[in-house]
Amino acid sequence: MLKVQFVILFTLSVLLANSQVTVSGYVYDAETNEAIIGANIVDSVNSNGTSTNSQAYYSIKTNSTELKVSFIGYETQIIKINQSQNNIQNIYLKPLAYQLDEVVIRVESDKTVNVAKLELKEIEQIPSLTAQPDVVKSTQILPGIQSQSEASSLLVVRGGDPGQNLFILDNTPLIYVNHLGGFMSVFNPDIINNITIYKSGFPAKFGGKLSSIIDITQRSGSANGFKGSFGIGLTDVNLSLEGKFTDKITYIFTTRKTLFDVLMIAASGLSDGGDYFISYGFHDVNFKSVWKINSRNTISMNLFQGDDYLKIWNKKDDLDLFNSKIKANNIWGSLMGAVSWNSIISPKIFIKTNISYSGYRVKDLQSFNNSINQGFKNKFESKVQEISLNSVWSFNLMRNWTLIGGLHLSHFIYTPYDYRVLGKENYYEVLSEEINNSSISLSNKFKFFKFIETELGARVGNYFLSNSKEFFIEPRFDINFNFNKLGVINFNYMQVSQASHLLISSGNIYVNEIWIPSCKDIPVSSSLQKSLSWSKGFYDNMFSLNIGVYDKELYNLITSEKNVYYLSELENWKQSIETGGVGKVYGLEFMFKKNCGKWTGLISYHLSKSTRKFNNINDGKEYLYEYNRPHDVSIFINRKINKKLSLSLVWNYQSGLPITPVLGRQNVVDPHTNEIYEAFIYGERNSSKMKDYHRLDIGLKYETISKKRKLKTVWTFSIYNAYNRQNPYLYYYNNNSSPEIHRPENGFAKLNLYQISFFPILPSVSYKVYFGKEDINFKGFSLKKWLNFEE
Amino acid sequence: MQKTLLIFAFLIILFSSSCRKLVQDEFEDFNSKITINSIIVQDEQIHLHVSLTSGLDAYELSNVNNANIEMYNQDSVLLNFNYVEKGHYISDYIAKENDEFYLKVNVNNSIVSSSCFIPDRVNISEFHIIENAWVDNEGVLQPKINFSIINDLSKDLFFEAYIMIYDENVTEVIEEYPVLFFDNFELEKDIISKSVKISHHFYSNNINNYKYQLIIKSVDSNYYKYVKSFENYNLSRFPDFSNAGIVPTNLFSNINNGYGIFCGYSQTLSDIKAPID
Repeated sequence: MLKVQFVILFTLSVLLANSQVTVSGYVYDAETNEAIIGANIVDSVNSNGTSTNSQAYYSIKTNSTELKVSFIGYETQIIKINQSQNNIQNIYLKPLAYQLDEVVIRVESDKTVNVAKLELKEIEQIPSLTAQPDVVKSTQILPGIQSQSEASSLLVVRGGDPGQNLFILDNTPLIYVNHLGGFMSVFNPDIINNITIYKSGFPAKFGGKLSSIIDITQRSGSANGFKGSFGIGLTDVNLSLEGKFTDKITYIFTTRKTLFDVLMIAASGLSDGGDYFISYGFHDVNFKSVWKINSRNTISMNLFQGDDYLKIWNKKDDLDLFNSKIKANNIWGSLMGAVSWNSIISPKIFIKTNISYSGYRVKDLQSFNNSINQGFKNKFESKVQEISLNSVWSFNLMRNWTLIGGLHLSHFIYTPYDYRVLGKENYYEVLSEEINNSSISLSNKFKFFKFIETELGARVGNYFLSNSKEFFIEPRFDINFNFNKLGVINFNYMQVSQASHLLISSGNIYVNEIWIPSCKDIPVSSSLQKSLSWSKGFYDNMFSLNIGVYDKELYNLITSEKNVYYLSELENWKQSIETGGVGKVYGLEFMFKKNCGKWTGLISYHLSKSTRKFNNINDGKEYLYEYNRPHDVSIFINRKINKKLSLSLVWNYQSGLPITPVLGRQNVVDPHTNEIYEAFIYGERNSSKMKDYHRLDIGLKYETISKKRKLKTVWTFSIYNAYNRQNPYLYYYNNNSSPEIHRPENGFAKLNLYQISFFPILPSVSYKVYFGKEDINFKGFSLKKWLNFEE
Repeated sequence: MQKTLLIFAFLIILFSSSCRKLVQDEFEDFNSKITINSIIVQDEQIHLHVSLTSGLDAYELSNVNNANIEMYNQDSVLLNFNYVEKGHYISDYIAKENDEFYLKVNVNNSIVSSSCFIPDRVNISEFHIIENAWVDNEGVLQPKINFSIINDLSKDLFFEAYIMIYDENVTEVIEEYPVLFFDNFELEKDIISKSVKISHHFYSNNINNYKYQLIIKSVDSNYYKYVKSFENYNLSRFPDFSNAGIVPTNLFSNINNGYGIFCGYSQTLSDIKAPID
């Protein structure tokens, strides 16, 4: 009897202890209805909390009657909880009524060096080459993230290749992310909400790339009515418009277009003796619309299109045997379209489903017209397309247990070579391969003993290649030990695979990225990464410190000795690459941040070593990776001088890039002509290095209200490379400093080593004005009435 | 032409903001070593070039006129070499298929050595030129060549295919150039068949009535590796903005204790043929 009573009492106590309800929903800005990502929902009674995900969704189990919801720049809100049943509660936070004199970036510090978050406020403070904020370049002040070369947006993350980074724009992968050869990215800051960068520790729902996931979420558009901005700078003009179609449907539209292509046409047209017009520029267009069907369901549509182009055409109209009408257009860029559906099925279940198309192509169009060949055109094109379906479900099973599952289906069409001729004789050759990828992901998030958080999961699936199939299992494990005053210790282990490879034509602004698929002869690449880090916040997270070490191994890498590809040469791409490469990277990362106050900023340091090994390169010996930079330091300081003025500095120091030195000279025989002439004797591959790289950028931002129309305006001044450091871009040997390199057939000459630098000191300026619907009024036409569908 | 224009435009944009500067004009001494260059061709005399390497500060590369050359064939016959000029030596011996050569060169008590082999000539079982087979990027119809050779699955074989273009009466060579470099790895058939696009017409329909001849060189592995490294070396030799990312590679060498190449090949010539449409 006693035993029975004990069992009953025990069971009751367990049931009472677990008598909790699940509260879930979305968190929005009360004025604009924009999703708030990273908002904190805290159960103070039980010291339990969560934050909104990239869809602004939260779910928390609690037996408290109230929860505290907070986010930087908003009034903290207390919400009441009905303990009799599970709740769906959407929360609308009010922006603070007053503007802070100081900058506040974030309340919580990052728990690990593997994941970094960037808010739009931070991105806007970082000075850039074009005096306009750039999303991808901003990430380069973080430890472990470097650019491939000066002014390039191609990223080298923890010693990985530039083609191993996945950019996701609102759940849709974007394949090509650069403008102007990498000087700026395609991401328009006007539409950006939040960026999360995973250098490791990828959640199981992400896969397909080895080195990083850059997850970018966009804003939804203002539900408060129409507004927009117009900006102009040295590189481009930009326009953003946002508002609502109805109370439930918002939209945001942004576009950018260069001006200097027009100036180039004018300049080449006015030049005497020049036979050609030349034009180089870019444009991009973003459109997003969100339909909040009800409190549980949201459907959004997302479109992006952006192109760069280099166009040359001649001025002559008279055609004869010796003069031809020539037009050459190089166009490269991306097209992306997606539809997403977010649904709170029940307080415990959230589903996010996304169907998308993403494509990238680079093409070279030429038309040639003279009295011999008339109406003739040719086109070389290389492209890759992805159609995918991703569905991720979150189950809040218990207070300390969340299960996240996912289904991921992708169909890739790789067309590395598409050659067509249209004219007197029509002809085409197309090389195309298709890959299907199907996988499921599962991730378990547990919390133990209040101080241990762990995530254990895996991604399992198949790559169906053109002539083979590869099965993969990618385990993912992450554990945090939260010792409160002593900080957070994190350990992470992950494996990832990648079935696509990037061939880069470096330094070649108009043909620079070509994607090829894995196949029977080119196996799927994979990586294995482990990391250990310690993080702590000080003085209520006014300061934060992250220190970590990592070890990364890469398998089945590809490379090419050639490294310069014209589209016409891609017919035999399989013969020109080396496969089966192995990479090893290990490093230490350090970051110290000041998160709030009139002074904010960070110091980051990355110490690393990255190597590669291929059987047919460097006699099969391991060598330093081409982008190995053992030391990388960034210092970023922002000072809010007053409500109108802020000053930013970024100083970056990097070890010089590796180079292969010339040790001596020898005679060689040309196998085709049998002539004897001089050639270099090189040392070990990448055994020497260029001079160290360092540079200071300064930015000054001035916000004001225009006198006449009372519009907010922002002037941004920036100086790139403020002390005019001549950082080496490449080294070459020559007998003098002229661009023309001495040829051996011109006779023997004493040689010196020279460098070419890219950017000297470069000042830049941009201007931006913000407006609302009340500010746009034309004669007989009121935009306010038109946008509100009034008569 | 179009590529040149595009590169020119690109360079105008970038050179306007680039800067050149001297980094280093004095370099470490480089220990001088013997360089041997010799490509032995079946049915031809053997030519050999001997010189010394130098450092970057040197004002010339020295040719060697007093090298002690010992070269034996597979029958241990010592071949005689006569000095010609500027480091060149020549032997009266005529190389044949399946010859093996063992080389030792002594220059002032510094010795280098190497060996090479002349592979069997290959049998060309088929050779056709198909006129108007494809259209180049200027809209001109160009020919394609199809050929087949006999494979020997018991050996690793390496080949270089050349095309010779003659005038209508086969009195003058118009052009001659390599078209393909290949091996028999991962091929499991008795016949190796290849199809190669060539481009040399200025106008469609072969109005000059050219005739064609195929030359297949059976090359040893040293020649194969050397030519591959030669192509990669030339890509990086003259860096500029368009090829800044290419990592330089050394030329392949099979000279022990020295530099250079010692290799050989035999060759088979096809009949001279007119194209078919």
